[in-house]
Parts: sequence; C-alpha cells; structure tokens
Amino acid sequence: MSKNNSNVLFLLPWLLGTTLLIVVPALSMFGLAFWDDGRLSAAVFQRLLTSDLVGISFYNSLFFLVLAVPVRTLGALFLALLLRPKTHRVARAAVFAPSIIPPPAWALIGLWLFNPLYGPINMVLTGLGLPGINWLVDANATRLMFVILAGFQLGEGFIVLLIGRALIPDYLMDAAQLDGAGWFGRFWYITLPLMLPWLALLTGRDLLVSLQGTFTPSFMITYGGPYYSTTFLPLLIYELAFDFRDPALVAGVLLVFFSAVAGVSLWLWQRAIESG
Amino acid sequence: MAKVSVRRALAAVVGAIFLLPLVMGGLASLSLAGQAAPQNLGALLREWSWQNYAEVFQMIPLGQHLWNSLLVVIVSVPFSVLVASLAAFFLIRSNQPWRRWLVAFAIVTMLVPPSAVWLFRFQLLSRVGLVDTRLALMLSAFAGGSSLFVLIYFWAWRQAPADLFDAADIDGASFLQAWWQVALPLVRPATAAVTLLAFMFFWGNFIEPVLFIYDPNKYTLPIGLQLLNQLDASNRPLLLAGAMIAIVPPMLLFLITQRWFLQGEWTR
Repeated sequence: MSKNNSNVLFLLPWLLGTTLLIVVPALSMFGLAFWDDGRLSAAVFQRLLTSDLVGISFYNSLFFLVLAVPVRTLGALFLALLLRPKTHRVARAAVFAPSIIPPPAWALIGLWLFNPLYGPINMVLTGLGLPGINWLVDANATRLMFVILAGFQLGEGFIVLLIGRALIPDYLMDAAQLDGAGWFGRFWYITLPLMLPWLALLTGRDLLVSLQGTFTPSFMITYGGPYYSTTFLPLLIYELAFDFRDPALVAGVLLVFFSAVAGVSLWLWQRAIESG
Repeated sequence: MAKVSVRRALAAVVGAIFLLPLVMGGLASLSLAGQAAPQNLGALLREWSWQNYAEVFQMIPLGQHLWNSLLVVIVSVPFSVLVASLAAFFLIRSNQPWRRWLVAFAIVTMLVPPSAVWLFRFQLLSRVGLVDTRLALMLSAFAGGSSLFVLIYFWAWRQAPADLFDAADIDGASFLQAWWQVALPLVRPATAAVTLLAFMFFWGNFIEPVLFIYDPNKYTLPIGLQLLNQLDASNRPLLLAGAMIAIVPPMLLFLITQRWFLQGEWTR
C-alpha cells in the first residue's frame, strides 16, 4: 500500500500540530506537579490543601458546575424534544442565537442586564413588586449570575441532542404508541434510555466547557470578585501562572481538576452504556 | 389539536426568552449616551440614535481591531476546515487498529482544558519568536482548529455508506479527488457546523490575545471590547454598541449556515 503511505501527509498537520500545541504543553504542565528543585516531589499537593485561594476557587467552581451543568444539559434536552418537529425553524434558531454571541460581547451584555441599579432584570423584579437582587455585590448572587449567563449559551448541547433524538428510529415510537404508551411513557421508556449515552457525553464535556466559559466574564466584569466569589479555576490558573508566577501550583490544580473531570466522565459513560 | 397548539405556544415563549437579551441589548445600544440611566423599561427607548456606533469608533481604534480580527478569521477558518476534514478523511479511510488509536487521541485532546496549555504554549511561542504576532492567534488553525472538528467530520462520514469511497477508489480517484469530489459534498452539514464553530472560536478568542499580543496595532476585537470596558464602564449604550458590532459577523454566518446543520438532514 505505497499509495496509503503518502496519504499520511494529510493526517500530519492535525496530528503533529495537536501534539505540539496541546499534548506537549499539557504533559509538561502535569509533569511540573511532581517536580520540585530538580527532583521528584509531592510537595505541591500539600500546598494545594493549605492555600486559601485554591480552596475558595475549587468551592466556587463546584458551586458553578453543580448548577450550570444540569441546567445546561437538561435545558438542552427539554429544548431539543420541544423543538423536535421540523416546523419550529424560527424557535430553533432563536434558541441557538445567544450561543453565537462572542464571549466578550456576552460579558458586556451581562454586565448591563444584571446591573443592580439600572439593569433590566432588577427593573423587572422591582416592577413586579419583588425585591431587587444584589448582583455583582453579593457573592452567591454573582455566582448565580454566571450560571444564568452560561445557561443561555447551550446551543452546542441543544444541537447534539437534536441529532441524538433524530437518530431514534420512528418505528420504535410508533410501536410504543400502538401499545398505548402516552407521551410520558414514550419519553421514559424509549427516548430517555436511548439518549443516555448522548447525555453522558455532553455532561462530561460540559464539566470542562462551561467552566472554561467563565474565564472571559470573570476576567472582564468581576475580575474574580466580589470577595473572590467568582475566582473560578480558569481565572485562578491565569493568576497563578502569569501574576503569581507559581507554575507548580498551577500544575497541581490542573491535575486534581482534570482527574476529577475524567473520573466523573468515565463513571457517567459506563453507567449510560450499562443502562442503555 | 390542543396538544399541538400548546407545543407551539411553548416554542414561541422559549424562542422569545432566548432572543430577549439580544433584542434588549440592541435597543439599549441605540439610547442616547451621557444621560441618566432609565428607571423603567419604557424609558429605554424614549430617544434613540445611531450616534453611539459612530462614537465607539472614535473612542478606541475599533476599525483597526475589526481589521485584525478579520485577518485572523480569514486565514484561520479555511485552514481549520481544510486540516480537520483531511485528517478525518484519512481516519475514515484507514484500517483498524490505527483508526481506533487516532480517534482516542482526538477525544483525549478535545478534553484537555485550554487553561492547561496556556503557560507552555506561551513559552513555546516566545522561544520561536511568535509572541506579539498575529500568527500566534492563527496557530491552532494549522492544527485543524480543534480535535472536535475532526470528530465532527469523522462522525458525519461514518453515517455515509462506506462502499461509496471504495467505489471512488476503484474508479482510480486519488485521495484528494475522493475527498473533494465525493466525500465533502456528502457532509455539507458538517462543513457548515465546523465553519461556524471555527469562526466563533477565532472571532471571540479572548484569552490568546490577552496572553500573546502587546502591540496595540495588533489588538483584536475582543481586546477592543475590554478596552471600552476599562475606559468607560458606566457608559452602557457605548459598551452595548461595541458588543453589537462584535455580534453581527458571526450572527450573519449563523443565519447563512444554520439551514444545513440546524434544520437539515441531521435533525430531520
């Protein structure tokens, strides 16, 4: 197969480029975690446990992920099933639209929408006779603001689940309907089990994507505040790497985070395969 | 009948909710700058003008930023599509176990958090003298943009009948001919999706210019928005005008491409 050999040329830009730009930097980073003053060491993991900033950042990130990932994944599932009929062209495009907004523009829009004094969200709340919320001032409210901002940008999950739903053959649904299953029965016994692998895939990926998405708004509109409440892991990593110049600690943070995400993803994936 | 109309009403409500931030931001970008913040929603549009859109270009060199961003996407988007689709076509034509290893490689590299590569990519770029060049912002395009793009093409071709490509082989088509004449026309939705995703990534890229670009003449649009935010954070119509300018190009591309990947055969 001499012909095949020269075709490898078309694979190489991606393979070598990805190795150079992603694999080598990431492995070097992980390696740093075990390297201290020219010898193997696990000292950085001790520093992880004693650093207040690292602790707060992990807490913030967990707070964000526990709310944002289910909201985005289940929201995308609800929307994909609701807008499944092909006639909902406009609504599908509308749901996707916020995901098109570039992150820095979305951050500026968010800064305006959530402004406690003149932002439209508090205007609506007070107009309804409800108390306004101290977005950007109160720690929990500000973290919640990040969850809401992320919740609007669920286009990627939405389309993945639209595709997943379209791959379920019609005859399964027809058979269930003939057997007298209502819409809930069809959802619970057919749609949901068949879509679990897609949901597991999305959930695992969203642990990374949604958290990474906090970087631009946390850098532009809160710079980690108030009181470090929006110092999520990506901003922490930026600060540790480029302000504090502490690459070993960055490596430790990333190693713990990546292991946690990989672990959860694998577990979800296995559960989904078993039940599917 | 009742069920159909409930669904239609719900779809309309959901669509309106998702459009609301964009529409309101767009309206507020037209309100007059330098005035007291409106105290209710009706006051948002009492007086409006396009003046903010002119002013934002005077306050910061937004024209230069737009041009730099345009340069980056003009190079990066075609290269991403080219490199990712060629790599995926090689995967689909290669034999096990090669293919399995390469797909695993794609999945793992897709799952590496971007923040894990910032530091060493910066070191790599400074070692080869690419810091503070526009090329630094385009670099990942020459590696296909993202392994996700390779996987999108791979998945799309997996859905196609394999004997189609074998038939092209028998006809004596070269790898490139089969890719261009047979394979690519089969997966227009994938090309539409990858084009849009790559455009969105390179257009909205915030962290890389923050890390790699220092010369103000090379700032891209996301840095321009950050400058606006730092210069005059309280001037909300001006900030929103800047945001709207950044939204228009990807939104136009979305409106063009969405009929393939959002309304087409993938989501029948």
